[in-house]
Amino acid sequence: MRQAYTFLLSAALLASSAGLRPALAQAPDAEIQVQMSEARRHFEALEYEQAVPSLDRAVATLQSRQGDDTRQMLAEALELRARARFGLGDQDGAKQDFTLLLRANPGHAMSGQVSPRVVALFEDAKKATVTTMRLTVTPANASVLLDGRRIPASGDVAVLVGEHTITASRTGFKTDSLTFTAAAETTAEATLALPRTSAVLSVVTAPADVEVFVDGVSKGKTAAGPPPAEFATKAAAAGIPANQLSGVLMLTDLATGAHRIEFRRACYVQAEKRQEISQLDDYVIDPVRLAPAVATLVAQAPQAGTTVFVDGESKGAAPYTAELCEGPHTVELRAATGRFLRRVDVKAGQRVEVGGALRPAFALVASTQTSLNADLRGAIEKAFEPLRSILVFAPSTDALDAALKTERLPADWLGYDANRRPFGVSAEVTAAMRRDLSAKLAKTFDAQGIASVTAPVATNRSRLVLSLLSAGSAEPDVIEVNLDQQDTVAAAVGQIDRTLAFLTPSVGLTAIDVADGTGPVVVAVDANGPAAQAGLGVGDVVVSADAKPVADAAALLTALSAKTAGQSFALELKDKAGAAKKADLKVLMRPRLIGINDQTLFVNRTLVALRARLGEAKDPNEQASIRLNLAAALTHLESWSEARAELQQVLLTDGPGVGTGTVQYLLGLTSARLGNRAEAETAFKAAAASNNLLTEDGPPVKELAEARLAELQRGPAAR
Amino acid sequence: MTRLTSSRIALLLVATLGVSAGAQQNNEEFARRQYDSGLSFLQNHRYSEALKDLQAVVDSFATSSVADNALVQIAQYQLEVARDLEAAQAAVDKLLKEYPDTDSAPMAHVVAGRIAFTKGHTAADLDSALASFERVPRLFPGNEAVAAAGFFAGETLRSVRRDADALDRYRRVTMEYPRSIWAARASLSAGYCLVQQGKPAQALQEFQRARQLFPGTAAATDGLNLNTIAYRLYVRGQGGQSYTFSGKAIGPEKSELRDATGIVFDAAGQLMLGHKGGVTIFKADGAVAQSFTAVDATAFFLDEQERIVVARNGSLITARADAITFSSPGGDGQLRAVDEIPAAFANERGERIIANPKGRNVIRSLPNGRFVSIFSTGQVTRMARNWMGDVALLDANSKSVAIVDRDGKAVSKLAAKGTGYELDDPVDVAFDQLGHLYVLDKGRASILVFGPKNKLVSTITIPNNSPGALNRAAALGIDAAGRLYVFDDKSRRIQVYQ
Repeated sequence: MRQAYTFLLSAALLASSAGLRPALAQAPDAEIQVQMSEARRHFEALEYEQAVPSLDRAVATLQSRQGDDTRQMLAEALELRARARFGLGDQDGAKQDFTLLLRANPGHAMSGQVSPRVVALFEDAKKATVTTMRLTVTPANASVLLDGRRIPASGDVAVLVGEHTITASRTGFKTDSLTFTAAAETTAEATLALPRTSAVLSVVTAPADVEVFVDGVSKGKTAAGPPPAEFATKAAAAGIPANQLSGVLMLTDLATGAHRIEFRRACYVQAEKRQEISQLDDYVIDPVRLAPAVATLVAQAPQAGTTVFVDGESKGAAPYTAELCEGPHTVELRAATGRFLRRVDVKAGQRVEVGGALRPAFALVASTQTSLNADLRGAIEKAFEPLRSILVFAPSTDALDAALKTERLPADWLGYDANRRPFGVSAEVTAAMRRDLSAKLAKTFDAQGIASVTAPVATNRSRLVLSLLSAGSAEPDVIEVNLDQQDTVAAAVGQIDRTLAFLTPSVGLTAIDVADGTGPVVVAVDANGPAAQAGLGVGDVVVSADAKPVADAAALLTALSAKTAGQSFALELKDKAGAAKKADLKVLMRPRLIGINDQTLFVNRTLVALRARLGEAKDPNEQASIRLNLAAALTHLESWSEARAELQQVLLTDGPGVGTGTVQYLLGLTSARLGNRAEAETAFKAAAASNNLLTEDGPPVKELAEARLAELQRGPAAR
Repeated sequence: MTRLTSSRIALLLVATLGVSAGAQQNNEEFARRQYDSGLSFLQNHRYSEALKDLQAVVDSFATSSVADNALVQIAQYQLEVARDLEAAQAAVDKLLKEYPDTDSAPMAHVVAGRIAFTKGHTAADLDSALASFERVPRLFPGNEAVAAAGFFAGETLRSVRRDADALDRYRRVTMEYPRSIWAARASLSAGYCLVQQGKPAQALQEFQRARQLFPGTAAATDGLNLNTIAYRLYVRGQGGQSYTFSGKAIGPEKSELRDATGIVFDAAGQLMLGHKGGVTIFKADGAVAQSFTAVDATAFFLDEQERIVVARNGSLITARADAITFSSPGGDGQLRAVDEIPAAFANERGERIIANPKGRNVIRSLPNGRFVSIFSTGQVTRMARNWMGDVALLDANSKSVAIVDRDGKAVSKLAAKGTGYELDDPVDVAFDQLGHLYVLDKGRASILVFGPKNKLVSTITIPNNSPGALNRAAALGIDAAGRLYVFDDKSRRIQVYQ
């Protein structure tokens, strides 16, 4: 039965078919090459008796294999063996080999100088084995398979005598097949006409890898080129370099009517075409060129040793300038003590400058699971964006999921209520685990600490509790905000950003307010301090500071607070008898210490800030004060060993207020906690002998140390 | 009958839920408004209106987010203002039962502790109060009420004279919650304890800290006042006069005021002078603000509602009320009418403590005159009370001062003669806020100031014929800042010393 089909060259399918060929081929191995080489040598030396056994081995091996190359070599081996057998007078054997040869390759033709008798024998075998098929397939560019092997879509084809199946297919057409029997010495005619099922639109893009959407629905991406020549010609006319062209993407299932064709690829300006499909036919759009959509990123860091990251990928040391694809990106500047993060949504042609102070960073690694699937981490990151002292950021969901999976933790593994009580499943996480996990996860996210967001009130998901844990800490800082009430967020930001000063100016006097007087009254003077050296005494009333009237003790402190070490502080006073006196005092900087038990202090935030500042401090006094405060923060977090290590490096100049006695007291506490009773006792005794204070305004460490000594004598070490 | 399809049911359900959610939101908003209204009335001391609002929140909006807050406000009002311990306890119990995990629960535990200790001062009361306070950090470790609990634990311990333990609690508060208002209050109380421990220099720094922590607040004012008292006695007084006559006198010149019966400051700080003709109230500038006439008055005090109560002819007269007479058991156990009352006051239970020198005792009676018990003994002519409820009883006959606790139990005694002093003609006594006892000795024209353990801290003497001389002094009062107000029989005015 004959069928009529239209024909159109399908370059794409042919190209892809050609591409498959090498992969399917199985190259003959070295052993066969050796066998064939040996056989050829014997054959050419007319040593047919030696050639035949070599060819037997080669034929046996090649027959067990498949592939076009193998088939070619098998044909060669059979031809040689046929001619060798002929030379040995074995005509039957020769004819059998020619028959086998033709079965392996019906189109085989003898080559070179061959005896006419041998050719005649071959032609005999051919007549009995092979015939011709005249094939017509429409469309002409359909893909045609004869018994599963690709053949040209039209023309005469040598086929073995017997039954065959032809299958033809083409995009936009219904696949069809035909089975027929080829008779010897008769030309068989085979015709297949494939019915069209849809219109086909062929597109080529520059560059490749462009996702093509038809009426908003993705139809795939263009693959690497080159496309057929006709596209290259059109591209050249449009000024598109041929090496940028993709292969052809054929779009099917296009109903008649107008269609919107969109071309999208990241980093390129989206393009759009309109295509009218009037009937089921083939359509071609001229090559579509996408213009690059990039902005220029300029990232600069205020400190050395800063690395730039774009979308979590390291880009090397700052400063860094590069093109950035249009769209949302996360640009970070990271150093050992902090990071700067900015989420940008860049437009093509924009110049984006990113830079700012690096702040200790807390990675949001846990959040309450909500049925509303709200992005609490994102909400918190945004709400706390105004923070100046630290950075709270939400790592990508994928990165977080991976990190939590590694640690086998649920998404809400860390959470607290506003009363600093573990919330939900986090109650099952022990302090030791938190300590370990805060260190691990902070390292994973290259941060100085971790954070969580909890919605403790089921009926009000706007009330959120932010918890901060510095790396290695088990006890969090906790603050509650209501995202619906901006003032609560502002208050929280203000609390976290509260300025920390570790040195305070002093002139060695204490003044108080009394109702009877008109200025602050001196009630204590540090021995050997500037005030004592200037002859100031208890009962003196301060009238002015730096020639400005001083109404009360707060005003005096305010005037002093602006001073730095070595500056002059001029006071006018009246003594108890009312006599005027003047003093020009030289300002000293004395250490300040955070409260080791201060429950209102954001100790985790303080700790990371101190670690950052320790590296920056140049002045030995400042370094000592920062280290002392670092020890206090670590004591607060019960990191006894680390606290002790810091304390052992603190070198304070002796003086009133916070001083060496304070250091000894803290050392005593840490030593006692670490079970070093003798060291604790020594430290407490040294503290008890001092006149220092625990913080700048008390209490005296003498009293505290004496109480601890008594405790030590009573029983086991206790805080 | 119409059948509802499932989609119609769903629509109705959505509509119902929408209405319900909307109603809930309205209720919440209204509850908040009513709660705010209650707070506003409380701040303006319009207590009955405040209670109406707060109770309405509790009764009508029990599921609102402010119902628990309303209950804690009610409890605090009942404890601090109405002094109705049962009502306060009921509010606390309801809060802890129905809202045990709310923001107000921690403060409810604090109020529960305060109620326990206000009920009585036995060891069991103390234990119960301290246990309530300790629950707060255990159950609500990060809550601001932890600071309040620590402060009130300190106050409780201070009330039973355990100053060292109290100081420890106060220091925990100041160290753990240094930016809390409770830290400011703790600093003030810590300073008090330090004065009792003989460490006034440290006390000054505590008071100043309270002042600097919360400038412009009541704590800052208290800090200034306490600083002033401690400064005068322990800094200025060392090697000099702790007090001098200010040159200021209160009351009209050529005044008719005479035979002063006492000087008292009311809760608002108004100066009141009791005298033979009644009670005169002065403005801050010294001018007379108001006068109450009571002929032949012998004493006066302010009752639990801050009303003036005048003693006359052995009876007590409250404004526009009948005179109430009192009786005291004689030697034979029979009750006899008290016929002269030189001193009296209302204690924290609302009872009347009445000096009965002729009966050589001090009696405790109900406001209606019903005798309760003998409070103390002696020919007491003047009395003074400190913040703890301790009472100084001046026995003019023996020229001594007995100090008893709120139940009349002896605490200590200031003999007529002691280390560094000898009383000659003591006429009045008063306490300052730091617990110092001031004895006005007309015979020596001095005021003697006694500190912890009745140690003489300072003697204020103004020579005769000098301005402010004390040789005709008749009554003594002390204001919050420790200024001394002495009625001088000669000028018939109140002289101020600072």
